[in-house]
Amino acid sequence: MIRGALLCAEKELKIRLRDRWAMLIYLMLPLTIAGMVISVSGGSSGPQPTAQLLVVDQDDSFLSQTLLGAMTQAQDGQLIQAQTVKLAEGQAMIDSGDGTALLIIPAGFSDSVLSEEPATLELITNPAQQILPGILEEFLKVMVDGVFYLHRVFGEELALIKRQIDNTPESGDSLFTDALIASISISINNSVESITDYLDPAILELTDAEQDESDESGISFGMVFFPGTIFMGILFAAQGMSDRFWIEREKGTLRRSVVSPLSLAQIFAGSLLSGAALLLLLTGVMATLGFLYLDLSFAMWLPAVLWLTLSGLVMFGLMALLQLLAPSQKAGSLITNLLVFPLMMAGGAFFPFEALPDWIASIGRWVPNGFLLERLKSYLVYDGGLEALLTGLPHALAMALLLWGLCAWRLAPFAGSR
Amino acid sequence: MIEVHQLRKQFGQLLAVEDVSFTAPAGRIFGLLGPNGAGKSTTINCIAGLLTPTSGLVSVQGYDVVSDPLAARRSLGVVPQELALYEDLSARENLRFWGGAYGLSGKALDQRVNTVLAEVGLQDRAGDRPDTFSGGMKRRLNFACGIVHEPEVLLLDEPTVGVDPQSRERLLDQVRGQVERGACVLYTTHYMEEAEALCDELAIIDHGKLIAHGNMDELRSMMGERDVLKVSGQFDEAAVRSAFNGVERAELLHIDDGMIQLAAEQASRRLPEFLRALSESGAEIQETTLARPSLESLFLRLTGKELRQ
Repeated sequence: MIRGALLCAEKELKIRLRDRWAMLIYLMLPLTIAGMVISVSGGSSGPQPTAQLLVVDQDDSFLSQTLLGAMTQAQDGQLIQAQTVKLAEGQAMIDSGDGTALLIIPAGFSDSVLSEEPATLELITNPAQQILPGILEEFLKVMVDGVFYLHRVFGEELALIKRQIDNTPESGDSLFTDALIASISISINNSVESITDYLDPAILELTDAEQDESDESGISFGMVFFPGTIFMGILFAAQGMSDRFWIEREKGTLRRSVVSPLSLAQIFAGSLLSGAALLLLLTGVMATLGFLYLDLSFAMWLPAVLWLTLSGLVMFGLMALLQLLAPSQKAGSLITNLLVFPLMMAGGAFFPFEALPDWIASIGRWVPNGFLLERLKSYLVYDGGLEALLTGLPHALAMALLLWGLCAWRLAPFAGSR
Repeated sequence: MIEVHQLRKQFGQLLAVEDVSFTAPAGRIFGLLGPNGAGKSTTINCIAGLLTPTSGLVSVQGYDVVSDPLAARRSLGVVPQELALYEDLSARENLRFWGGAYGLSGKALDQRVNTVLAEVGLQDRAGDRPDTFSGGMKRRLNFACGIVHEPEVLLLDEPTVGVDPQSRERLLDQVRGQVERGACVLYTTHYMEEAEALCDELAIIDHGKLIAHGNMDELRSMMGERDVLKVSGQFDEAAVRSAFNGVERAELLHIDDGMIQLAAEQASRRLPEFLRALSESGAEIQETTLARPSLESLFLRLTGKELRQ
């Protein structure tokens, strides 16, 4: 029995390994898709783009400095970085493609703003950049709008400040006495209180939320996506291997095998063994790449690969059963091809469960690959320990036995033996 | 040796094989002839163990194919009509697999593979895949896979279909070689001349029944010493039958709008008599052919149709 099964397995494995394109597709397609999705979603640790704003501050006033401060504080200073330059230097840098934009704050800008007279800010953008200059433009527009509304609300107070500055003697003695400052402060406070109802149209309730433990553990999108990537490979491989019985039947080699001393059980076991060996190889390679990329502990490698191989056998069994039930090879290929993508989508292989709508995720967790993937993620990503796999093992074995049992039941009539 | 006794196989309401009996002895080539759908393949599938007989007994080398299938299959070698080869494996790997399937291993397997490769003239292409072979080479490899384990009983199902004359001769020599070493060969073919030249014994099957059985001499005697006259042209079936009612010692084997075939003793001397009868029936004659009694004419007489129909 064993010798015949190994003979069939060796033959099957030779045939499958010689189909190098198929092997490459099983391996590369999931990795390519994963690479694209991770890069589109921002990756796990890539640098954030920052706008380099070159500033020529010809006004050099408190107000011009306040304007720059407001801009560079956006997103904790990670979005815009300002660099003060001379006009010629700034223009040369923009011409050579350095920097996102050149902002020229003219002399007298502060006076003009305080006296509500027209003032011009000049922004020269770098045509070589697409998005960041637009962000800077929008930022400046918001600032200009802010100045307009500041005058509408605090016009008197600003006029008073402007007068006091204009009247400051050349000796430099400040006219801002404590009483004046207090008076301006009270006035501003009264103005703010009078418009509170308009400034706070939406009541925002601030609640303290304890940060999710998983976020603190540093789980990146790549980490969440990684097990699903291997499942993608498993599904492609399972689908690709599932038509072997049809090929053997169409070529006549299945009938030839059936009339030889080889039993159907040996032929069947050979297919199963070769499938397991191929899945072990495939998931081993993919898991190794993933473990290296994500810096996972290799202590988890063997259980993960064994689980993946078992998962592959479940999916291989499902696809093979559908092929054996199909009325023709073409129909079998069509059915399994049509099934692969919904299984990938719902089963969390393409989009992680964490990114799926709840109702799809709850269905997906109960399709065979979704169930198996969930267990693996619990083990690899969410520190579920070996228990996460062991508690799912009876279910996985039951699925594999059921599906392959049905395949064995179907194989005899399929081979033409009646 | 193959023994088939009162074999019957039914698929639902369809009776595919009805009480067929024959014995194919060792060291002989037994031809099984029949038109498509006659029950020939069903009979072979029952012998090979692919189908379970509804009733009757089939044994290979004394092993009942139903009660002792594994022993029966170990004695068998099968060369199917289709090219049942693994295109992704080399010729040598194909032979090694099928040899292994029949229990060969180690040096014995290596030796047999080399011997068979040489016998079918593929030793120079042993490492190549069959998808790089010509049709004749594939046929030879297909045959080699069936004999790599030196079976005591060999089932050959149309092994020369689509083969060039050179490869066909080589294959037929191989079949004779199997008989010389004492194997029993069951051979089916559409080529009558091939069956006549090769088979020691023949059985003709039609509509699931065995309608003739014997060696070539015995079968020829069923035809008597009658020649077969084929006439092509345009005929009115009823008029021709009426015209030949008065012609003695001549049998109309087949008639349709475009052809007549009749069997008669000393037909060459009586040709004017036949042509006159045809002329009276209003037939327009285009061509006449006279043939000595053959398997083909016997087949025609027994089944009313040519083997290729």
